[in-house]
Amino acid sequence: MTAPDASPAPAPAPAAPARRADVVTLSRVSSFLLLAALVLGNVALGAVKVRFDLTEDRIYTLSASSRKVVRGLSDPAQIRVYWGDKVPTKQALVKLRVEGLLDEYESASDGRLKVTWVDMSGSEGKADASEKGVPEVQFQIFGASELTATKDYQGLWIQYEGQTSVFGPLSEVDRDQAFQITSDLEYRITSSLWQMSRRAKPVVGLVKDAPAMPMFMDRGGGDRFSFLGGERVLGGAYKDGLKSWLNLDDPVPDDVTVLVVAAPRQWSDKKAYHLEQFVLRGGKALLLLDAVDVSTLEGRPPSKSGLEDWLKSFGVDLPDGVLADFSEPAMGALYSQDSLFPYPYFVNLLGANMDRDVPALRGLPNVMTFWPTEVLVDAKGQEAAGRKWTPLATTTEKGWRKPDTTGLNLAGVAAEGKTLAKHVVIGMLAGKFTSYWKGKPAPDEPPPPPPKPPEPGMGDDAAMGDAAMGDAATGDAAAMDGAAMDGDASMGEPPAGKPPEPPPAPAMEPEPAMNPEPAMGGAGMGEAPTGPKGPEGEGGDEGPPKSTRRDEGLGVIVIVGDGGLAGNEAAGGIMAFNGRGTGFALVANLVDWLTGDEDVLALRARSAKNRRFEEVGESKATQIRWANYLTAPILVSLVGFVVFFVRRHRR
Amino acid sequence: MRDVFAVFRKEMKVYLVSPIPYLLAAVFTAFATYQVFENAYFLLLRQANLDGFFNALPLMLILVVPALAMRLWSEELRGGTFETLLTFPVRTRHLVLGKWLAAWVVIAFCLAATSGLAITAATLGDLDGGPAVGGYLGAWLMGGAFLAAGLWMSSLTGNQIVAFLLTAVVCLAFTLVEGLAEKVEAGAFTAFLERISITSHFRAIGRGVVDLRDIAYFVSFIAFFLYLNVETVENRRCA
Repeated sequence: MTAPDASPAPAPAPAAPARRADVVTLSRVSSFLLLAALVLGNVALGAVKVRFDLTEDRIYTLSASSRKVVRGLSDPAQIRVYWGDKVPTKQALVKLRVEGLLDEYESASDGRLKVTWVDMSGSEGKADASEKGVPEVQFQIFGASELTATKDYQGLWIQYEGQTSVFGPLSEVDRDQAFQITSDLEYRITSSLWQMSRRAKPVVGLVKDAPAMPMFMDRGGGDRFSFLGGERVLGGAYKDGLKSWLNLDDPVPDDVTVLVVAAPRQWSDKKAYHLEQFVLRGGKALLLLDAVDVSTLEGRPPSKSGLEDWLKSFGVDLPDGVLADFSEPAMGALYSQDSLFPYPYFVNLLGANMDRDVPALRGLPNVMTFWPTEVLVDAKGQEAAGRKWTPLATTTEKGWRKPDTTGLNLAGVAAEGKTLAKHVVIGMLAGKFTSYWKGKPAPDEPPPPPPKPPEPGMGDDAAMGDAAMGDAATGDAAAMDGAAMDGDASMGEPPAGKPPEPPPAPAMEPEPAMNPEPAMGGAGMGEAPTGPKGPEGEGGDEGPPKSTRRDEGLGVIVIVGDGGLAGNEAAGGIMAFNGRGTGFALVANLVDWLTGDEDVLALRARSAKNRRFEEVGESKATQIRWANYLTAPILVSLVGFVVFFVRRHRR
Repeated sequence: MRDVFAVFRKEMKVYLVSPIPYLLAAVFTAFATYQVFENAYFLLLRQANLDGFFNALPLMLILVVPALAMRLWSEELRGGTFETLLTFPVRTRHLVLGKWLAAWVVIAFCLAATSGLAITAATLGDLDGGPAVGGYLGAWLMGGAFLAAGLWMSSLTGNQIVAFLLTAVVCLAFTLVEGLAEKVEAGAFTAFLERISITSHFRAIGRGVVDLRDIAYFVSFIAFFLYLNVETVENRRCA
């Protein structure tokens, strides 16, 4: 008999490693799938534009003005973006911001505006950019051991109703040397669209008779004055509507509505007269007076504009000397003998000392001025004359007017012993003006023909010729009585003989564009009346030719006691250290305001405000430092102890 | 969610009686104060903003967050309480979420301790609240993202030092990716690097604009690493 078979071998144990491998594999796969889903989800969310701008001035959000402009487009518009592939990756955030901004424009336009990012990887994109005039920008790339430079296109091309606008670059460097979107990009886009879509376009004239500075001089001064940057800024906004470098030996063209006069030098009566006629016809003049500059530092006397007497006839006094400000935030710095020292004659007009109700100044952080002149006006006298004086920007309470211009190059000027107060640097005069030459021959008129001998039987009150009126100035007499002003002693004598009766003043029609106008008071700004016509006399239309000369009118004059703030020198060199060209923004703001385009104006100052605080004394600085070092750790420890003892007590 | 809250409460009780959060907050604040006053010359430049603090924040969090995260799982693994923890009737994902939430509150506590700097800036000048709020929000989200990564690293090893180093390396990698993007030629790859860089999203929120896309990035980052953590713990459970 054989032994029975042994019991069958037990079943093998389950393959534990294989099961574990399944779990691990499943885990890895699921992780990978989750990663893929999250990536896809993020990519899909890239199309969703939901954002909350928490900044104080909502500087990263399209403003209401821009929305209004794009919604008002009656025809389709397009923006093509040229962003070269060689633009450094450091500008990636800038690109994101440009994308975000243009997305908002598109959304706000309800389909009227289309934005296209041009593919710049190939030669077609570059050719297109070149053809459209998009600027090629140079970039510097700091490598590990070398610095390389590269060039590529970076800009926008905007097209509307057959008109186009191109500008770039789209980035700039901030004070920390980091790239950021250009602070006025929204302004430039919206103003371009506004310019192209606007039916009635304003025309801005520029006058500058001082020759430009040599290219590499960065400190300004003397008989020369450079305002090319201002022309560029205004040209960007007004394009064909900018008439630059008018010569006021000729009358201001009729279509000019705003006239910028930069640093007038020794103007003749004729030029002053043409300026006055422009104001009397309802024009708005922006005067940048540049009496004191760096040449005065070197001993040269202050420059005369030639408008002093004319302005004085309206009660505006520009006293000799130069303003200073001893308040630390309002004090600039001057580089001399290899060191930088505080210089009170570079007066920083702080936002707190500007009239913020004026749209031109709303949001403007501060503006540096260089050796400014005070603008002195008796406001009550102006009211009596039918005008309103509005100080727009002043020094701080620690301002001081040095009565002369000697010793401006001395360091260590102190406030002790000086009478400190606020002084006006920028102001606006608006309302009724009476011609300085009323009753006198106009500087550009030919001498009147000799009077015809009276025919027998004609009375003494026959017509005597044309326009000279003969009545002395009336309304301005009140303005002359102010303490700061000389009397108006320079009005001419009425012509001989009994003057004809002046014609009645034509009715003033209000001009609709300037709103709101708190600074205007009750005075509307109507169309300037046509000049008084010469009496017809017996011959009716056979009388002498009619003059378009105006003896009265409603106008606006904005007086800035410094032209250097808008000089090219203020954007470069030692002045740039102080102001970084903020004066250009001020001038552009004022021009926009004077053209009545508040929608566009509201966009200009959209960059982050300068949030500099007052200097802290050394002992206070130490206290602040130690308070920060100690307070939080002590408080945290206290919290820990309290919690510890509370829990121990509960147990 | 009840389980999450239960785990959260348990972890918070541990933190409350432990010196860790107080010590971390004190060190974090001291370092932040040093950064603002000594490196960023706050009183010399006199700019009423917190740029000096927020610029240094990524590196500060890289030091603080791994220190907080390293013990979260490693301590359990080392001390033998890990297995006990897994026997509780709580799902792994609730455990992970509860631990992460409690540690995230500690990071919020550390950030709140630096509010003295914001108060100082607001007292001396005109501090724009938007970038300050955005900066703190971005910092909290970035801290949460680093924490999620650290929590996962901690679950991989029982050695706290190793967990610390791994967390620091991962956080540093995501921080330095932006610098790498600047060194390579511009193109799709650099755009990708920019999109995954944690600092570029932090800076975007830090300027005062809370964009849904940046929030989605942080939420995705946190969700991914928390999921990896859950899977790691589950794999340990099965092992």
